[in-house]
Amino acid sequence: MPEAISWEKTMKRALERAGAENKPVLVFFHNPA
Amino acid sequence: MDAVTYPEKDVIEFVERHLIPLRIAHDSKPLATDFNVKWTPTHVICDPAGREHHRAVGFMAPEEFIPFLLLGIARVHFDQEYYQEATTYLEKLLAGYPKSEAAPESVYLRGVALYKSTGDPKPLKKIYEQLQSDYPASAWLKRASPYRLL
Repeated sequence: MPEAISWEKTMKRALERAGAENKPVLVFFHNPA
Repeated sequence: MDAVTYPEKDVIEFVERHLIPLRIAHDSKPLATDFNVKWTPTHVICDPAGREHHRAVGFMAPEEFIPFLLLGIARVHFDQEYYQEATTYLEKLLAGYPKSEAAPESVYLRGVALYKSTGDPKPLKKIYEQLQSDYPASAWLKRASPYRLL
């Protein structure tokens, strides 16, 4: 069974990358259905 | 958005150059709750500390999406009192997308950024004059109406 995605960790990584690259984060909430 | 806006070359290049994109299902906990997402598509622009500065709900065509992003990036800088950087993005928006929905707000925000960075009230009056001239139907003209008296 695949491990569930931790969105908190994904967001944390995106924010860390944003800080390192001095860029804002674009969060796109979509409906995959 | 997936069919029309995201595949557009200009959109891809803009996002890669200026932003860190993160795509999340609308029901992903806890982020959807943290960001109070009630409908899709929802786009939120945050600073590297995770603070929200700009948001839009609903479909946007490429010619509206890029100016939305430019305004959002400008707001990130403006809210952190980086007025010169904010002005740079607002100028790009107004030069490249003067007919976009984001343009009138950009006129307003640019004038305020100029005022806050210089202390000179002339840019505030110019907000009103430019909105009256170029965007007379905009709600931002009403918000700028007190500045006509300066």
